[in-house]
Amino acid sequence: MRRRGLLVASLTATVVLASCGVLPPMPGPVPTNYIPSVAPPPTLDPAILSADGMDATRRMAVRIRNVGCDSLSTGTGFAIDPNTLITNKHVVADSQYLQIQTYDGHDVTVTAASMATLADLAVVRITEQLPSFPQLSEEDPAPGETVVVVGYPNGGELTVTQGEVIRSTRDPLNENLGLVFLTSAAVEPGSSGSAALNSAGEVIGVVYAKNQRNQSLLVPVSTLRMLLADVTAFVPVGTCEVEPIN
Amino acid sequence: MPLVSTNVAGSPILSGMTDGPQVSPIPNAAPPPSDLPSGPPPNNEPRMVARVWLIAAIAALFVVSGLAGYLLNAASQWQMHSAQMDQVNIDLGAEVATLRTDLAGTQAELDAVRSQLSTAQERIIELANEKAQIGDQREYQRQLTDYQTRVTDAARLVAVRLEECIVGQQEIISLLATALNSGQTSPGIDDLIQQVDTVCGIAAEAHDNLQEEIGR
Repeated sequence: MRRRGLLVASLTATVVLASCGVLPPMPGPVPTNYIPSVAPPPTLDPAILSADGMDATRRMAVRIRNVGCDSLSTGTGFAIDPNTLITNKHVVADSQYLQIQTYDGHDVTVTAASMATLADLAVVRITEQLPSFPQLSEEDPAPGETVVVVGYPNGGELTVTQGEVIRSTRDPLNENLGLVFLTSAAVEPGSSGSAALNSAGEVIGVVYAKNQRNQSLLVPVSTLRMLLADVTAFVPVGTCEVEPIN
Repeated sequence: MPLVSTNVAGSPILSGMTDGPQVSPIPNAAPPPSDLPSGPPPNNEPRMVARVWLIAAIAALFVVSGLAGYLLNAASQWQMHSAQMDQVNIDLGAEVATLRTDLAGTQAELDAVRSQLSTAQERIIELANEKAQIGDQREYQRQLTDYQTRVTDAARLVAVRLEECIVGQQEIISLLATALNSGQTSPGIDDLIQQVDTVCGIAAEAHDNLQEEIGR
């Protein structure tokens, strides 16, 4: 009899305790702040913006005017650090002096120019600091890879053209050691020295010529890297002197 | 009134100041006969069961009362919480509506600013190009001016040498005229002729170079 009573009591206690588990809890205090503690990610990448809204691709490009003794020509260059520009040898050769202008029309002062002996490449040092410069790609481009060329065709407005890497080939001008790359990106005289960028914005080559099928030729970035690593690969650019008639 | 007490059996016992005859006390209860057989123990189980059920029912009543109280309190609290949350939602809804309106206005301004920025960028590129073209023209004009200066200098030099040539030739003519009148050849005329010939040759060469330079 006593056991039955205990059983009933324990059952009752169990039911009561179990029912406490399903009872709704008391409400907590009403929140006073509904702003999430973790801020949502920004929808715009501030790194790609500049004060004037120009993208980094354009801000790294410069227009080079080669004032010769009896000639005037233009080409393109691009920064690889704030004070160093890369362009073609034939853009800076035979000059009386060089004049360089940034994408927004500012003039920069040239302190030195040197050209490679084994490729159509040149290095120009400037006093002012350029706001943007791309990274050099670790590898040469593969056929089919997208290529973007930023330059001043015909010495005109800064222009961005796009194409694809077609294949590597031997240099038809015999100015470069090793292979060069053929691309479908349209270039014109004045585009020489333009940076050829991949889709990641890295330099994969330097435009130096075009063929009759309107295909552009690039000095590959591997050649540029190799020459930049060798301090003896560049010699100072010679300047011309105006001679009197007679 | 006499004091009356009652024994267990209910018989009255007189005591105290009575004037009646003395009555001997009667024993309270007769001892049970020892030869009577003993019966079974009394059965208390139904009463115990009833008592347990009573206790359980009372406990259950307490529990149910407690639960009911708790639930009533909880319902009341949740009702208040719900009302507060409703108010918060209404406030937030109003805030969202305001922010949406502000966002639409800001988006419209942003679109306008983007358009202006795009126009400004195009203008920057155009102005940079115009400056570059003017710079090209300036350098071209400077080169042309330098060239014309050099041509002018060369022409002046040609003129000077031609003048030297003419002066020398006039001198030779004068000497030849004197010799023709006097019938005597002037000494040193051959050297003069050679010198003038050299000067004139230089002048002619400078003239040819100038012509060639101009004709380029």
